[in-house]
Amino acid sequence: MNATHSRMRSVASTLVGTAVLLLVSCSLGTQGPAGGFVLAAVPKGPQAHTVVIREVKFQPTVLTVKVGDTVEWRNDDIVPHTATSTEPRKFDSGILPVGSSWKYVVTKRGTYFYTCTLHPNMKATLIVR
Amino acid sequence: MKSSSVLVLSAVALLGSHGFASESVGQQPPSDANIGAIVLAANQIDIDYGKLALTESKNKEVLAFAQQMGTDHGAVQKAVIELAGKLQLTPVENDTSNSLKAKSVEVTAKLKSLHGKAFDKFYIDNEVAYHKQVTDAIAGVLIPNAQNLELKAALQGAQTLFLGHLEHARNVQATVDPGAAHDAKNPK
Repeated sequence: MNATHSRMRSVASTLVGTAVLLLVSCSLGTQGPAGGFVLAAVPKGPQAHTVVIREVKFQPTVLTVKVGDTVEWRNDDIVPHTATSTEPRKFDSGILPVGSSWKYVVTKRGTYFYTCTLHPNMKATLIVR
Repeated sequence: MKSSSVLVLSAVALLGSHGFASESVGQQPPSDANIGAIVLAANQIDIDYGKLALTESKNKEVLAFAQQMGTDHGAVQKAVIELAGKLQLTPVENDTSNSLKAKSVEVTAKLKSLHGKAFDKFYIDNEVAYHKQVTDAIAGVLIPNAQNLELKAALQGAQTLFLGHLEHARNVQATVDPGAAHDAKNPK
């Protein structure tokens, strides 16, 4: 093997290595404000989730979380609401005035159907895995 | 029969028990300015019924519902006034808004004559019937006739809110007057 060939192999392996690193970065990262990819930590510990209440709706209507995660309900509507589980009865925010929020740490697996007791046509689901 | 009498009778026949036009046949479709006046009247009427309930009722569920009606309809009222200002829309009174107000005078007089459980029953039965008529009118008359898209969207938002009130009122009715709630779900 001559010196030129050896250098070419070295350059090629460097390129492959860089490409692999980029791929890993992209798959783990999110797009930063400048458009480049930013490495994000792999989710390990409890996560925080937000359900926004707006236009007489819970958004998202179905949220899947893990035991230990925190769910925050934020009332961005023009009227008060509640986030109250009906089946099974597990959590109840009480009345959430306009602009307020309420946090709940989920402790048990299951599927929780919840509503707003003030506007029972508002229905949503929290799935805990 | 004179033609004017026929017109009056037709208009009366088209008004629901709470003063809403149940259909638009034979009636001039409401303009956006008319719709503004109808929504303002409908909101204010329910705020005022709620105020009466807050002074008269002792029932926890009724009191909470009445409080909520004041808060929610007050918020909608504020939003409607802001939207009307933005769209430079001056509400124009019309047969429906006037009829709503006339009917509310009767209901208010009845509410003021009742006390205790009789008051609670009449108040919550009226809230169920009133929200049913309001939501039917919004869906069947107001939304289809609204010309401005922002007004149409606001009516759709209000409709979702009022349908929530209707369901909540039925839940309260079931605790105050189980017989009426059962009859409403299973009409004879």
